[in-house]
Amino acid sequence: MIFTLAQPLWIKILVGALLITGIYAWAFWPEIEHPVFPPPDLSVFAGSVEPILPIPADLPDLDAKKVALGFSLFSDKRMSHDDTIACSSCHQLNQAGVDHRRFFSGIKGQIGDINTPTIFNSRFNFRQFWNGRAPTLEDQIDSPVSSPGKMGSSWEEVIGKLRLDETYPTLFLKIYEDGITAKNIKDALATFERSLVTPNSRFDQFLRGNSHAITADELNGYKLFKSYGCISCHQGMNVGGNMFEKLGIMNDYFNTKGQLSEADMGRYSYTKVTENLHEFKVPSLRNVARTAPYFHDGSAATLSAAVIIMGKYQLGLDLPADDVTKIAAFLNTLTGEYNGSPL
Amino acid sequence: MKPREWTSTQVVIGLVVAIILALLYYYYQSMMTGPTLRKRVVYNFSAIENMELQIDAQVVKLRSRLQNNYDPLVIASKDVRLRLEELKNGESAIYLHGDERIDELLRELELAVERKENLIEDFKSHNSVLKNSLFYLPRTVEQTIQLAPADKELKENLHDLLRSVLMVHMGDNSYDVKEQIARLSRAAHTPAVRGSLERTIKHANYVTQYGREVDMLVTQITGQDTHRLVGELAAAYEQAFDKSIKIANFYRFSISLVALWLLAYATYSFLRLRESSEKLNEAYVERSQAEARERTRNHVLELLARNISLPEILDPIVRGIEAQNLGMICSIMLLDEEGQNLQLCVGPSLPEVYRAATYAIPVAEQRCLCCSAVFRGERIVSESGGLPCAPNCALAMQDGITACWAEPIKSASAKALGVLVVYYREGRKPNEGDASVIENAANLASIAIERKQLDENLQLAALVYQNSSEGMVITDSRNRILAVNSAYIQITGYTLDEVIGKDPKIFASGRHDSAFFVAMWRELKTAGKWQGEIWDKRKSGEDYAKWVTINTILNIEGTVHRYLALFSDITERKKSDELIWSQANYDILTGLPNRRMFQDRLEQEIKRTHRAQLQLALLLIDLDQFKEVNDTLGHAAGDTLLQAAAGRVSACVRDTDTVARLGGDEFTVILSQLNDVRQVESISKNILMQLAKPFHIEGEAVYVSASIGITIYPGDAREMEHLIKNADQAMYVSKNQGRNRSSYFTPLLQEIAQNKLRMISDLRNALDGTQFLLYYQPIVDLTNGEITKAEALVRWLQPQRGLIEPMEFISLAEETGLINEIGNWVFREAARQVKYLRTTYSEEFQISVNKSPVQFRDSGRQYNAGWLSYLEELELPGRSMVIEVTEGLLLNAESNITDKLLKYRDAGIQVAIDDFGTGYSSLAYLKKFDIDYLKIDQVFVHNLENDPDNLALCEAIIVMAHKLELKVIAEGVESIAQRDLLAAVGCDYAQGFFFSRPLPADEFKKLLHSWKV
Repeated sequence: MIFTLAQPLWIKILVGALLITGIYAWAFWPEIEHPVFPPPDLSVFAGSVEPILPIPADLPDLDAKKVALGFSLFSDKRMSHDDTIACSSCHQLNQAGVDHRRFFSGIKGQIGDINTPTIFNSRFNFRQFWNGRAPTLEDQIDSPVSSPGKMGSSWEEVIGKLRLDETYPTLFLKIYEDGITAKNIKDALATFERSLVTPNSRFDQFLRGNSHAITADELNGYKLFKSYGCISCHQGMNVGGNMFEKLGIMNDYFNTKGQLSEADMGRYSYTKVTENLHEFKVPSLRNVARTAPYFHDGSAATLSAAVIIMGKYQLGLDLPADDVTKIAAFLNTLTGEYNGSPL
Repeated sequence: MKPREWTSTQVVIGLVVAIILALLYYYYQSMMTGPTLRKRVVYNFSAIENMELQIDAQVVKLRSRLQNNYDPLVIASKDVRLRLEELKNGESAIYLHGDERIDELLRELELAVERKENLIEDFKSHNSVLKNSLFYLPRTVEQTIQLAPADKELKENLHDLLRSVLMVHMGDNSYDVKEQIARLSRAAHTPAVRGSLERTIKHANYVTQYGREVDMLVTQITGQDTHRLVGELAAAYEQAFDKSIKIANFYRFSISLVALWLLAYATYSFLRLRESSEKLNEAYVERSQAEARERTRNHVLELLARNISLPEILDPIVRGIEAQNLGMICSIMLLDEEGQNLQLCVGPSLPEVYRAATYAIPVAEQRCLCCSAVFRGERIVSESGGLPCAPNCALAMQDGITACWAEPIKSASAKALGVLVVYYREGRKPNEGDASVIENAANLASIAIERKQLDENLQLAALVYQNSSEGMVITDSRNRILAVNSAYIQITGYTLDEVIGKDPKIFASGRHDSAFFVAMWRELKTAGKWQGEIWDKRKSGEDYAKWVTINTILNIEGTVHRYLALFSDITERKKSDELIWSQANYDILTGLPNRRMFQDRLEQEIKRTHRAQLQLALLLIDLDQFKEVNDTLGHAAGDTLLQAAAGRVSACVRDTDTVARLGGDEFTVILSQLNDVRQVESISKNILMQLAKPFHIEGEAVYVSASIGITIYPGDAREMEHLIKNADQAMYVSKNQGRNRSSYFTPLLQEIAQNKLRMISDLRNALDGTQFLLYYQPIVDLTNGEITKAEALVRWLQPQRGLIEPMEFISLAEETGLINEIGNWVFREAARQVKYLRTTYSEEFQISVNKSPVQFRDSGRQYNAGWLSYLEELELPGRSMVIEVTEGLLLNAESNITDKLLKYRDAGIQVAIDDFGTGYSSLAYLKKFDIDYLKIDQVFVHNLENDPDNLALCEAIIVMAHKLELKVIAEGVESIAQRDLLAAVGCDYAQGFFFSRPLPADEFKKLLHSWKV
């Protein structure tokens, strides 16, 4: 005990003074400066003539270590229960982030009920999944990892496997104080996913003022794209991906389909609001030429077919073949570059 | 466990600490936000508000197509969501929670935002559909018209519809779109037109329908009360913040108050401490002086306890008062043992020159202040060098010392010991304090000096005490041991711990009775002193004798204070005394009185018997066959026999009688104070009977007998010497009469004894004159009948008694030792004779002489040497002489006899065994001693012709001798038959009357010359 009677008074005074000083120092020490999030700059949208915006060339830098770790995890089959499937199994980076199958494949040869959307430019989507049930990229990761039909694993299992690895534990500790956790795995993966952007498409070049970047046909296709009203949904930086829309505005898309799957329910499957039935996130059309087959059910094998289906169900008409060709030509100009080379 | 007791101060301190901690806790609880966090929270509020406005603006813009994509709307929505999340769960959250109003508002805001988000989603979807239809409607109108270009009505209607739809869409509700659609539907068209028309109608419917809905949604979205909620939230937060600031301020103020209070208390304590420390300081100075004095005193006393020199002890006294009194120079001078001169002892601060110059100052002359002080026994003060002083003080003056005070140091008995001198460089008189200081110092010095002197005396005493070889014990008045010295420990074997506190009587040996101690204590009490011999026990249990001197030390009251016992261990001395006495008076072997003791006793008994008018018998006992026992069974057996015999004899007499061993196998018995002499007879018979019984020694039954001589006092003699002699004579009578008997002394015996004495005297005279003669008996070689040897035989021609045979005087000569001289003469005479015969008769002639065992036993070396050198002198070879010895000599195989025999042999002198066959004839001896001749005793030869046994014996001896390469001489040959028989069995030589009796030298020579083979 500091205060005992055996000690001389001056020691008590000294200790008392130190205590008081300490208390004051603690109480009045300047507070740590807490950063504030700057408001998003919406002015960039103010002067835009075209409803489509180019992907900015100067996106803020990402944490390179996280990107590297995320990439490593992205290709790691231990994310799945039986070590057979990685994220990259469906989102094949050399295949524009898709598997080119109608439906995705899960572990043990399971076939899913929905088409793999591209992972490229997913950071620009306002929500994730066809039905938009995940608000962020991080939230999106839970579902494929834990769904029995997809990777069929769990975070405990994944973390357990990763902890047995020689390098992961140290890699994680270099970045995250708490090492391997679900949150940190998701953070790393999401950061990596944010690096998957495809700027500098010919159309972006056109938007930036290079009128020779696209051909006359392609330009005509863009004009048709706008005049047919496609642009009302497929707009913004990601040419879509920022709103929900019902599939089959003019004609009932599911009428002829017979048995409907859970995937066909669209936004309804999680909001349970009748108005949301068959509402899907409007998919981004960037790199659309490279992501066949199309739609949530992969029903359109070619881009032209997709354009035709869109005309039929969203516009209520059969688009003239010439227009379809032109529109498809326009859509081809949306293919961007990843790491400096065309996707 | 004892519950801890808290002191009031601890309780107060604990309370203060608890209050401070509590205040701090509440302070931080109340600090909902600090300025920077407040900034962040407020910033988020305003950002949300701003974003909400942006959302509204975007929605309006989109509706009015001032905006053509949803990105800004999405971004703004997400931003709101992010900030709301931050307020709810982020870092800001902790500063918001706890206030109900804020919580409620936050919840409301979140719900509002969610509602608005959903509305926005609807807005986007609907707006897109609307836009889509708006885009497409003119186009589908044109396409439909083109499908029926001739149908003017259709064209007009479609244009009307388009106009109406657009007008409605623009907000003019005066156009009836439904009516126009109905009109279009009523008209008949081709299927293609109809299909296109239906699509057109559908799009037109969508425009109106979704246009309305979108308008409604825009109204709803912009009408959401998010702005209000955010504003309220901000206000609530400000309010809460203000409140918290107020509370925080209160606690902060409280903390300050407590701190100030503590500060004030500390200041107060400090001031009080200063005040009390000042007071303490004063007391301390006072006390430290007293303590310094006390310390010096203790230090000095402590030093006294150690064994260090006086200057070292006095030094701290001087230094002590110097340290207490600035500028003081102090020294102590001591008076020498005679009390004449003063000498500087210590003065550490004195100038070097002063110390060096100091020498012994005679006190009586009072040449200086110091001397006067000592002489007068009082303090003398010189304020400024008043008294003219011895060179010391003069020197001191030179060094600038002016004042000088001298305080005499006196012993407890007021005897002057020295002087304490104090100097000052400035003129100064001792004040009251100074006086007490120097008095104290002088006092202390006197104690030290006296103690030191006392110590030295004590050390001397202790030295004596510890180094004395005498044991010392100090006991208290109750006789408990207080101290013992090392000699005591050494002598008794007890350690210090084992004896301290004990009564010395526990170490008693038990040899003394209680009367002894009673007497001792009585003497101690009365005379204060006791001296004597005490037997005590050592630790080892062994008794020991000590010569003890006990002194009583009295205390002042005159009662006993201590007993001091000094003793020396006299056990060894006593033991050796006893041993010497016992060795001198007793026979070691049998434990019986020896000859000396016997004589004392006899003398005493004679006196006593004489006084009692009684009689006394003296018995002299000699064991008859003891010598044989000794020879055959060994000395150990002989000793055992003697011990047993002593026991048997002692058992036969009364306790008051004395049995003594005079030596060898001779015992005596004094039967004193006899009323009736006839008692002696039965006693002596009993002794004979007892001694005749077998002794069992080493498993063998040994038989001896005794010969006893008895003489009676005062009948036979009155003198002791005579009595002994009488008994001796009587004993010899018993021996001569055949042993195992007792004989009384008679006057005849006396006469025989007198004769014997006379003969001895004559024998001595005979040696002086030439009364001895040598006779020679020839020894004939039986192989050729020649005389080759002769035996020389001594004869004594006594002037009064004529010729005396050897039988009569040889034993006497042996007894007296005269035999040596006789033998010597015989040898020389024989040698001269043989020299003559060898030159005149035969070169190989030999003469044999008899040599008694006594001659061997007595230090005959010189005679031997004499004999051999005599032969050399005569230039005779050793072979010319033969020495005849008896078998008995060989049995006493002492090494010097062997040596002597071997010496003879080495010199060439031959050896013959005389009287072979009469004693213990042992052939082994013959070989061992390298014997040359055997002389068969005449008893075997005597009746040879008639006794075939004797012949067989002789033959056996001869055969055996020849086997051992010995020559055989037969003695006592008296007839021709004997000679022939001996020759027949191979005997080598013979002598006897048959050839010739022993002849004087002249006749012998004649015989030789006349000898016919």
